[in-house]
Amino acid sequence: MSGLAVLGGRRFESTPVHISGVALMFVGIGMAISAVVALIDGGGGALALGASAAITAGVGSAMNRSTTASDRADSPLAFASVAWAWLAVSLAGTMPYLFSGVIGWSEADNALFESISGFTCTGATILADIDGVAHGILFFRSMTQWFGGMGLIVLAVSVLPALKVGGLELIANEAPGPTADRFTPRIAATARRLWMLYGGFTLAVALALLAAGTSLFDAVAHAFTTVATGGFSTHSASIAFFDSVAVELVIIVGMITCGASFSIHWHVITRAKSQRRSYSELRWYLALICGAAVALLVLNSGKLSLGDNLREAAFYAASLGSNTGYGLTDYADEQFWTPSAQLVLLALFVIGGMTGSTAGGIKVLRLQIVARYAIREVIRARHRRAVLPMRLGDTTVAEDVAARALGFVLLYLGLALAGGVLMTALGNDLETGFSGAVSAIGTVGPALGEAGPTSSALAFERGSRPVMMVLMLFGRLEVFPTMLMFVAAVRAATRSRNQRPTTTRGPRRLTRLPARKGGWSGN
Amino acid sequence: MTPRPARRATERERLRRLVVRVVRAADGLLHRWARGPYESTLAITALVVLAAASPVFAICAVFDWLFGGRVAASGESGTDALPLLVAGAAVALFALGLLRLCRFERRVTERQTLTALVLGSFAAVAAVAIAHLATGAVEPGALATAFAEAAATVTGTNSTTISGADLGGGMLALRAVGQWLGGAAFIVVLVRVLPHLGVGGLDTDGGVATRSARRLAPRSAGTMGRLLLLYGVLTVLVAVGFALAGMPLLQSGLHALTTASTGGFSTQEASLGAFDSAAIEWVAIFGMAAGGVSLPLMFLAIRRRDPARFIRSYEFRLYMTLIIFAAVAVALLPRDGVDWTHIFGREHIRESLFAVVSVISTTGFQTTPLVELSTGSQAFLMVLMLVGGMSASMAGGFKVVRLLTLASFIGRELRRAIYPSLAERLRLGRSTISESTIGRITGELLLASLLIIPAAVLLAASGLNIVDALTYAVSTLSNVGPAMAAADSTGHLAVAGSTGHLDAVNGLGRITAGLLMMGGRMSVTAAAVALSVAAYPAVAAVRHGQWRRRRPHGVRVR
Repeated sequence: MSGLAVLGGRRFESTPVHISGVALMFVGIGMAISAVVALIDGGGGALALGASAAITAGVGSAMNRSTTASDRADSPLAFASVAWAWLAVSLAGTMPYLFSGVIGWSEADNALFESISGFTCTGATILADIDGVAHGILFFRSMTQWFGGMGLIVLAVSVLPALKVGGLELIANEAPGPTADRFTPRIAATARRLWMLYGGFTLAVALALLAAGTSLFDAVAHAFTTVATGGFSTHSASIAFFDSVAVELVIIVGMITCGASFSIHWHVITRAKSQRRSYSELRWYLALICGAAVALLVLNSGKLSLGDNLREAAFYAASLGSNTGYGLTDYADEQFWTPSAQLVLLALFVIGGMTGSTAGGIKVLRLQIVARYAIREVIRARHRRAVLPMRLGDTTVAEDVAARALGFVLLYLGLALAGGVLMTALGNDLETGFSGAVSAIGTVGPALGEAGPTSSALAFERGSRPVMMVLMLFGRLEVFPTMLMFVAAVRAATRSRNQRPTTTRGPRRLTRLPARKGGWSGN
Repeated sequence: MTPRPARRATERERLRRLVVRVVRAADGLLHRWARGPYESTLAITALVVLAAASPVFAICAVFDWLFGGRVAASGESGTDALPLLVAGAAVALFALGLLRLCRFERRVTERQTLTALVLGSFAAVAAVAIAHLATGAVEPGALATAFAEAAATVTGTNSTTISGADLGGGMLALRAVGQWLGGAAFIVVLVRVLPHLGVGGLDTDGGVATRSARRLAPRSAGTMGRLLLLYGVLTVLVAVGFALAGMPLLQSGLHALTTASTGGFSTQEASLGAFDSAAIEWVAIFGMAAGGVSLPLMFLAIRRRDPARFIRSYEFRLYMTLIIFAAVAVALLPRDGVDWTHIFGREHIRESLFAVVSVISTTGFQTTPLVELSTGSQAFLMVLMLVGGMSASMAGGFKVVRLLTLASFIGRELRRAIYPSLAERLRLGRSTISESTIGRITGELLLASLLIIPAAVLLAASGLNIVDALTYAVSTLSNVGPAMAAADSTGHLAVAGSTGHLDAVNGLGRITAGLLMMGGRMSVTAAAVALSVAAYPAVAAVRHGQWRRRRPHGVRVR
């Protein structure tokens, strides 16, 4: 393919296309692996996966080869690249479902939903009968989340903080790699380390699941979606299928670990003593999950027996506290759960996991900022001339950082509210519509009402599902990049029109943006 | 220098002087009476509010004795008169007695003002709760219910367990007057307290037309007088409107009190829907909408004979846009029993407009129960509840101007994502918004959002569904009253109309609802400040306690 030169050998400078190409090639490899799994399993789907792999990799490489990355990467361009890459892989991810006939061609929107839900690590599924689907396809489905998580982890730990999205630069201090001013040179190194960690966690969870007694296929598939805090399961009943405390424990630990910041994991594992700090976010995160578990225990105490209650409370606090979205029993059914306990879950939907992880939601760090900010305003109402720096753990939060975080939270809440109104207006009932919107933008998966953890996203009206898809993309990429992708694309287009197209044929030396290493493209 | 010729005082001037003299005399009496050993502004505020309640009780008792039969469903006069008189006398004696023990403080700090405000409103609630208990409007001993009912009265929230048909004339009058006086007190707070404290950014400029509320007159007392006058005139106009539209005279008076104050209590069980009259509903629509308009803006527009002032106000424009857009949406969203041919009917449009205006002005009158609207419009209405009316209006909710400010704040953050070192001042028309104002507004919103979920959990734990609990929490926090209900499982809500939420929860839920109403009316920040003042001893104990790990100040561990 190296000689492939589209459009008369001319290479256009378009970072988004270039990076989308890289991402597509990665996904193509994933499809090929899934095809091999399908062949070994013999349950069918190998041909569909193989064909998808060929098309995806071909298109990806063509896109990659025909363009170059811009050497002036500013943040809008980076936003656009990431967001478009996510969209591109989501489109490509529909192919295996459509080709294998798991989702009919007349329901192509459903395939897109499933694919977006996969790559955004959401875990809302359109498949009503998951157990009946070929293993190869299910493997691919879990793998979409794993890939999504892979891209996300780099985004969350280094790219978005470096671009100062929504106050995330706070964690740039904690990240093992680049800080805001030294962004590009070390990004590939960071990515490599993070992926080692990510792969290691996946392996650990898979081995632990095997030891807990699941089949090899289930262990690998669930390890993929646990580590990515995605929540796709290979069974309709989700984790309840195994009915095993051991499996639940493994998954609870896995979810809590992967909902926590990967940069902290890196620090702990490498024992970077020089960077000793108290991780206030980690404390809040664990306190929130424990608090939610206790609240669930208390609120559900009349409905469930103590043993069941303990299991459910711990599992759902971890599952929704890390925005994974695995299910046990149907909490949305008032036979089992009280409404007040369900509302606690709704709060977890919104908050989500830690920054620097694959979890969604507004993130614990921002909740901390929000809480501190609100409290500071109360104090300020009492002491009007007080100068009150905002502290998080040992660091002081600068005002503009706090403003960015608040802007993010407000936009997020506004989008969730607007999405809820739209979902309801498009025919869902209030509970399902609003919780669906919150769940989608928080990339959780299950919602309340009719769309509980044991039912599928088919509970949402068909017309309202595109709203969820948009919300998932928004929530996944921290809202701002997705909102700015079009702005950035227009800007990039006008800029490239104003310039002479580059005519170099050979591989160009990239000084600023080492996207060709597949560093931060997403997948 | 020749002395200026003496100007003859006009009638208005004389009236103003009279009012000033009366107020001064009352103030002097109070100062002479309160000369006890205990120096406490807070106690004096609370006790004065209590003492001031007793004349209201007396007036309502007299009203009941004279006209009670004409408003009460039972047709009997004077059922509440004696209990009200006795309760009023007891409250007055108690308050005056304790006042004798108190003394004014020399200096009043800002935070004391705020705490006094909160304490004063609790005193008002206590007085109204006593009236409810004394007249038997709530069962004897049902303290939580009495508290919730009183909170609804004082804050102007149409959320009740009592049907208007079960009340005597005295209580009907007291509840209506209570809502109106609550609104009047809010104006006083708005002009005399909030601008000095700047709590929650409510003193933000509402656009080019309204500068801040205190600038109507050189002195805040003048501003206050003007706004109260406007409020009174508005009430009278609405009353006349109702009467002309065919409502019985006394009823229209009571309804005007609750319309202009955006309170929403009605003498009828079915709220305004009981009259089944298009004219009355139109009057109510205009009355409620006016209640949600900024009073200073209205005053200036009338005073300067400059209606274009409304158009120039960004806040007013957005307020009107919201109303029209939402009314169209509510009318167009498909719902059971209304097919496309009826959508353009006059009835349907009026019904939609009524629902929207009732919710955005946080009045809470009902013609069609919210449950019967389509789910999509219910979602719309819930958002409107959150938004509320204009700043410096009688309406509750978050206020349109704050929404405008936040929207421009978010816009700036979006632009900052493109241009990271952007420095930009936020503007509303010609005036800039200071960063501290944005801080206050955001703080208020964030506090409210941090409050709503736990409150909804409490409400759900005390007997509501998820939808019921969440929307009811929103509704009470915005001082609306009615909320949406899930269609199934709580059938009694649908039967009771959508004001039945308070009825459906137990004591815990009623206390939660009452506190939400009060928090919403005073602004959550003010409530939180008062709470923090109250909790200060405990906080100080924790902070200075020996068992707390000490962290050296100014030393960073790296």
